[in-house]
Amino acid sequence: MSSLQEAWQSFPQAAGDLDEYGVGDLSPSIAIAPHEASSMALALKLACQEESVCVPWGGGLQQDLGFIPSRYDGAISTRSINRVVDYQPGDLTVTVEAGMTLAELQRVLFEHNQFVPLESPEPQRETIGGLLATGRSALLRCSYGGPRDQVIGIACAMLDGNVVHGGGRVVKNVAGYDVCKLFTGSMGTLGMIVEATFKVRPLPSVRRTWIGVWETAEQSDEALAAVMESAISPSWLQAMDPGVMNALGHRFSIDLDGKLWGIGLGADGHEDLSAWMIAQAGEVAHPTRHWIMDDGKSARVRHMLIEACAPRRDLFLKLSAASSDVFPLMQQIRQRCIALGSLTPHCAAAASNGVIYLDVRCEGAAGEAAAVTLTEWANEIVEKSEGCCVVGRCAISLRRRLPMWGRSTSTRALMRQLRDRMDPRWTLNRGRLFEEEH
Amino acid sequence: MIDRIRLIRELSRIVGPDGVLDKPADRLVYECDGYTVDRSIPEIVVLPDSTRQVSEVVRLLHSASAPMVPRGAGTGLAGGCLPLFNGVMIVLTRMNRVLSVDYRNRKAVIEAGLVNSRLTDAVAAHGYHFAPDPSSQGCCTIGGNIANNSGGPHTLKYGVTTDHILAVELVLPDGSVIWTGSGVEEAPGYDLTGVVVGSEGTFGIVTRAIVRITRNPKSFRTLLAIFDSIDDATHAVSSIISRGILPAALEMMDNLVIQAVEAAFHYGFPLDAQAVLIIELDGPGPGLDDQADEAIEVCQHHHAREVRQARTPEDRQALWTSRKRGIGALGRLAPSVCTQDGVIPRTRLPEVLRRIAEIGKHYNLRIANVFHAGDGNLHPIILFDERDEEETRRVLKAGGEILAVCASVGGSITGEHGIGIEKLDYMPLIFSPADIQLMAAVRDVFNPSGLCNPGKVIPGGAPSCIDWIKPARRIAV
Repeated sequence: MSSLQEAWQSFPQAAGDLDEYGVGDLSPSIAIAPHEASSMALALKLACQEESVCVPWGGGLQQDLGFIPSRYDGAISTRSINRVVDYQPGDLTVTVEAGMTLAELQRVLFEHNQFVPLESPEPQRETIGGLLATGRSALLRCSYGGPRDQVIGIACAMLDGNVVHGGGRVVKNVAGYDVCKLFTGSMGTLGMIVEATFKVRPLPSVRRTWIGVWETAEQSDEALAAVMESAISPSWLQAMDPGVMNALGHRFSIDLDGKLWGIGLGADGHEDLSAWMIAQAGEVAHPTRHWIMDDGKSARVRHMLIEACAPRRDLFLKLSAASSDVFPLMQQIRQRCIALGSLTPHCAAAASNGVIYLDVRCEGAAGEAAAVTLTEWANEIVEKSEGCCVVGRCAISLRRRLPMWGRSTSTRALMRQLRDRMDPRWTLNRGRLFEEEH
Repeated sequence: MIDRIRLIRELSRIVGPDGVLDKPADRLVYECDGYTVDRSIPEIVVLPDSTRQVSEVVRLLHSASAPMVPRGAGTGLAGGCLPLFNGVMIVLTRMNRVLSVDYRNRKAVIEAGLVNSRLTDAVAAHGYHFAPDPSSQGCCTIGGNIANNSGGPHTLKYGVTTDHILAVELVLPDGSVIWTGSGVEEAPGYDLTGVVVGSEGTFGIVTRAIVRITRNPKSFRTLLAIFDSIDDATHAVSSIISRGILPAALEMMDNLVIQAVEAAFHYGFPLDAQAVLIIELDGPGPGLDDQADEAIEVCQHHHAREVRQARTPEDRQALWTSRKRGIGALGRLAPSVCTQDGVIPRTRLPEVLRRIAEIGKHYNLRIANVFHAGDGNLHPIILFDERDEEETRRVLKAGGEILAVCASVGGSITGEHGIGIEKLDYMPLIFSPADIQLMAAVRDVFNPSGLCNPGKVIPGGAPSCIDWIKPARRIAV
């Protein structure tokens, strides 16, 4: 029995086999699921004392992100802390524990005709803690911002055994430092998120989807500029390459000729406003063809586009750039994949935010070599416009070779110091975010 | 620490002789910000005009172990730029340029000393604005907004300063310079921009920023709802929010404020009204009338005496001028004002405003209310005469009790003014020792020497390397 197994033996064990808690080619020797945040903090303190390494575990959906840990002794699951702590529909705030799934949270809010603008391709599995720790966002980033912009309060289990709080339960608050933002997207390397408070929103009465297509990326780029310059205020605005457009056409029986580039937008809100936005989109963007989807079909299209923001194939890259670079970059990426051979790209982007999601099928051994070349090339081209490139999925063999978080930046040293200050023994997710911990 | 004369000589070498103020008369204006209860004159004031100069100044002060305090326009309301430790004040107002604007990507690069409204002026012709709109936007700097994560009436819909900052250039307390990002979204690693915004100058000195600019709405519906009771007005606010109407702004003024702004601006507020709500809805146009009708219906349901709608852009502007200069207008009613800044859950507004009125009565003080009702962000303004020591003592006690009430209903002790020095003692009302220790640990990573804006935000005194010099409080408390 390892020292961590001994230290953690009195904690409730997590459900399932240990293999289910694997990261890359590593599995833990123990997986626990404490029922209280304070137990979570105690477990972390014990792991730290034992100089062990543990991985926080929510729904296990984003364990392809980052380097494989340099060591992995125990998993600590949030799935047994999954309650609504406080929900005040009249105040438009909700506080939940980190192990609650996104689907369950939205279900609770739906009863009061409210929602939180967070998204996942698998909301039934995605936990709030996992979503926040990885900073996952998709379509609604366009109008509501990402997870960092929804969280108004947070509680985290720390390695000294304390549960600390930041922010609060009111929508406006500048008391103390904004530690909510520090923990959101920190990949569980500073502490473990155990509770979060969100601003919630009224559900829009109408949610329509408009999709237009163009013959070339250049025409699509002009259309994007025209939409952004107009008074249209879409809830989301996605750019799509022919790979994603074809998949969309196939799923919804739309006859596309296989070469079209697309833009989709969400026209949500008051009936009149939604209708006006749809009409305006056609007027300012001059698509070759366009489609309007209501209700159920609109929701299914949106879900498919949320899926296009997450890894489903062999290599997944997330590129951050300027909005004006979206279509030119997507075109270059497509050409590069064709030139490299063995790669089939599917590329979508949060068009107004400049975040490009590239999901690639890699065929055979040549495909793996091409994936390496593509990733290095992608880093070079985004760096020219001061952007960055994150690998969201790749073959296990590449996870120790590729620049998973892009090239180093000048802020790395400061981040390193924050990490060392909060977790001096690298107990949490060792080597996951910082390569030098290997 | 090197001697003062040598320090002045070295600083003059960096910024030029006209960039250093060392005479008492020149430094007097820097003794406080908008929070006037505590005062302390800086030993030296320096006015750099570039990041390079700021970096060199900070490097010099760091090597001399001299405390430094960054300052914008000094419009803060919590003593955030008060020089507690006899230090050097670094004033950013000469760094006031718009460096570039990228309309396609809706962002601009600006220097930290740029006055908030100047950015809107610079992009207005293209149909854009900078969304954070604190009442002081005509004189406060964007660097100051970043330090305090400032809000304003329209942040109800458009968000506070942090929602509009993509990256900042930060001179760390050792003089080194970093950018917290390049302005792209979803960059990997920790959100340094997010944690620097609102850090009140305790992490370093922000010198430049990449900020979002926002498309101007095409249409407005601006309503003035007049109430005969504060209770009715606050219930109307709660109903508007809980019905899912999202105004761009939802502001409240009580009778004392109505009296003052009417005397100053002659807008036409009824002097006998106990409260008015300013409700603004904006957007492309379609659907706005229905939303306005719904808001009017809610107000009428809560016994509004009358609901007026601004008919012209000039009328709308006049209404907003009255609101934004409301606090200034209170100068007509008393020689001094102390503005509080609590936040509460919006459904608790009626109860909390009643308790604030009781506190005013208990301490025999007049308390006016002009605030961001839609956010639950209260600004009880205590009217007093700072020359009256006994009255000032009551003001401080009443202010503390108001914040305690906000904390007791699950709220916060500041929504947009910051902690500064004013609210240091109240941090334990909402944070545990472990919470505060975490914040101190984060500060120490950025500011290990503790030299940058010491004694702010984190209660418990300053780092031991600095000698505490207590500010000259007007009265003994």
